Amino acid sequence: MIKYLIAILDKQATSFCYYENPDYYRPASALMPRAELEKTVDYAARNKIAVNFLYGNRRLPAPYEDLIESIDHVKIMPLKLRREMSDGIFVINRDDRQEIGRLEENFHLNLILRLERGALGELAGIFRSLLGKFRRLNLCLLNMEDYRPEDLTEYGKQLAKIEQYAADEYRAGNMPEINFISDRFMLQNMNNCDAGITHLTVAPNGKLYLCPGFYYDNAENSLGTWQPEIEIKNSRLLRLNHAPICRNCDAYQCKRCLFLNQKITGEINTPSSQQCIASHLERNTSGRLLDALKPVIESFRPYVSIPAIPYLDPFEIINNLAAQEVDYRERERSIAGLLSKPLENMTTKELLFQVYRLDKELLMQLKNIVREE
Amino acid sequence: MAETKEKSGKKIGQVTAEERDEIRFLFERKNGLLELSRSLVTVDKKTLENSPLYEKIVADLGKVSTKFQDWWDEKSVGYHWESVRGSHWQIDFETCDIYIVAND
Amino acid sequence: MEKEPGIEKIKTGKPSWQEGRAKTVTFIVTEDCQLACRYCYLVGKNKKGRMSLETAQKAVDYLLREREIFTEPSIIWEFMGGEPFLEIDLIDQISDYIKRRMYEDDHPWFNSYRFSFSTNGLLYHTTGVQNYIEKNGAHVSIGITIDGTQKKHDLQRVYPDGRGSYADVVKNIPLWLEQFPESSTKVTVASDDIPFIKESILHLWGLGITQVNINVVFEDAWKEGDDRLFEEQLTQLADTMIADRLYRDYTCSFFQESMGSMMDCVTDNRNWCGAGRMLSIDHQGNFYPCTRFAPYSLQNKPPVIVGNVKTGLDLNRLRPFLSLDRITQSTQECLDCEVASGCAWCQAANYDFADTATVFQRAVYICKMHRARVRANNYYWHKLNRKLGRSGVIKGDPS
Repeated sequence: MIKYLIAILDKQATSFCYYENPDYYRPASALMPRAELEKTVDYAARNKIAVNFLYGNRRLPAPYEDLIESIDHVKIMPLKLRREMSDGIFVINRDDRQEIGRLEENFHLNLILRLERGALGELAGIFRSLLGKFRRLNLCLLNMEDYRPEDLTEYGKQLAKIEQYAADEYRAGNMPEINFISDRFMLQNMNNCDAGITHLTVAPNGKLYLCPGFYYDNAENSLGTWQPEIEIKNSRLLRLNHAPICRNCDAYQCKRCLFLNQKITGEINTPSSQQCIASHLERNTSGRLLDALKPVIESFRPYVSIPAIPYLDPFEIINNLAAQEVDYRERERSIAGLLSKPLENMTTKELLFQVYRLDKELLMQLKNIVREE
Repeated sequence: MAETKEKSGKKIGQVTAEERDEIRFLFERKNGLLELSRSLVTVDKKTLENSPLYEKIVADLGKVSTKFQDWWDEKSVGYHWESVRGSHWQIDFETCDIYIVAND
Repeated sequence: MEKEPGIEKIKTGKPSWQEGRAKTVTFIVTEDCQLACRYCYLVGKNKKGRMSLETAQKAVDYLLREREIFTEPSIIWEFMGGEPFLEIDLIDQISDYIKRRMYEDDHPWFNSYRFSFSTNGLLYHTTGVQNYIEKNGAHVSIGITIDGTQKKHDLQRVYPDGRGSYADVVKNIPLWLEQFPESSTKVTVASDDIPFIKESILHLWGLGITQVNINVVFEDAWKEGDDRLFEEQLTQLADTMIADRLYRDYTCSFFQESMGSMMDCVTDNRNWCGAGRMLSIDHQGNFYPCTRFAPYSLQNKPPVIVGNVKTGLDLNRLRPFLSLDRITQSTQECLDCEVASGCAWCQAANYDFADTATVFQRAVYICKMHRARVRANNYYWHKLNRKLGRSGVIKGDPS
């Protein structure tokens, strides 16, 4: 169910994610026509959904700002606009990194750090310089389509340093949210982007897209314009249960970026090797950090530890299964154990009660299985 | 002692899968070397005989042929397969069965 | 062959070489063909797409070099077209190069390889082809496509001027069977062929081709009532096979004992289509997960290129094909189907006919034909088992 829209207010709007906007650094810009903005706000109001507005490098004319303020929204803008716009999510692109030094200490900013492949070796240093200056930090690794094994090795090294910095911060009593590390502490299911499921994007041309990445990649491939029911062909492929690699994975913090999937593997439901490995490096970092910090953070919430697994890419399991090298039952048990880990401490009685509440037919099927065995 | 794709004649025994794999490997390698040597015969004989590649193939073929024959000799003794003048043994690679077949 | 004690034997199909563990690499040596078969999925046949020896050599070098990617213990070097035997000289050169390089590299494949061909049979008797067979005999596997009776064969397998090719193909069959005993043939069935199925299979058996691998086309080519006619044909064939005890010496792939039952979503989820596991190379050196993803083979979608001889294989591009399973591509109707087992799919057909550019949307045009096949198959095994006193279970109700 669509819960919010992403509205690209300016063709030059900052990216906030893995896709690139080729127009971002161009001098001229082209605002979304006001009429399209009105339609967007109207649609959101009628369907009781919020809007994430993507800004370019400048403030908008007053009539635009008035329309924006009339609806539940979040502003996403480059960090350079922070002096003019106090509330929103701020994106640190490469030309914004010089602003980091000017940020005051705070625990309320929501930041997105977009880091190009060439600057991967600076990640830990940038992270350290940002500590104490945000409430939440999101990381987007750019140019993933060009990532090579040595880049992933470097990412692992950077994460190891960040792990130490983060541990010190938590032990000092600060609780920054770091999407690529701390989110996984609490997640028990996939927390993906869900483009096309929970949100759609409206571009300056007034057309709809799964996400801005698809618009900038090819504006011809739109989902159409505003309709009461928006049709997405093969929409089941957007969902986790139709992603053979992802549905067996517990790197729940992964964004499962459909745009990157499509770009690198050719299929919207299939991630590339580098996406999987990066997510698992993050997952494993979360696991180690969680184990190290348990005495500190346990009082806030009982956390479920993240078990060690012998792979960084869950595709290895799928491929082996298909090549008939692995016993299905054994692998099935292993995956089931991984995905159901948060439920391990539940009593059987409580678990069955929840099954009964959620799906009575499942309860019947369970009884049949038990009887057959 | 040969293996062909078509089995005929009388079944006289069976080898293990591992033994089958041994002879299959030798059979395939021997045929591969023979066919590779045929690929080289387009050059003149003198060039061919002085070619290190050709010399290597010939040497390898000798080794494989010896091992091939040894396998049959050892198994026939070990399994006590019947032997008849004017016949040869065949193996079915799929079933590991050994047949005795009259020569053509 | 299967035999219960005291029970008559039933011939089973010959298993594939190396039990399906061999890597298949296909060289599309030419896109040209003497024929213009009406059902051919190669919609873009032409005279221009001819592979150079240099391209083939680069491909071979790459495959032999990347042992960490290509880990299979055996390999099938397949040559396809169009009609591959139009380029027998090129194939001969490529094969010689392959053999020498495998040997020079001391590659395990030297001890376990095959050269495989799928041909229309028209050039089988020619000097070039016969010399090739003589030279590589123990490693060669050749399948000739002959579709059945002259009437059936010439319905589809025609020259560009519309003449049938049966007479020119059938004269090569005896030589082929003499050189490759127990060979099989692949027969394709489209709507117009249905009335000739039974007589065609019997005819092929009569020619000495004991194993007939036959399938229906995946395309949206079926008319109302085709499934009923199809079931009638298979039922008549079943009656003849049983009455004349043909099951002892001949096989037809339409009749499989274990098919036509429900499938479990976990244990019966495996993808059996080899796209992604095989590798196809065209004259430009482009890699495809299967020949059917090459440009000349697709009707509605662009080709799916997964690499090139210069840049190598893009393993990320292969991931969808290797992770595709039954449940991800299938509709709920397919998953709930009580006769699902044995119902085939083709990833290229999925892709070409899907609403979007994906392999994860199953082309289900064969649904009714599969159900009809299951009913006929159940009939056959029920009747045969009763005759032979075998135990057997009728699985599923396809109606």
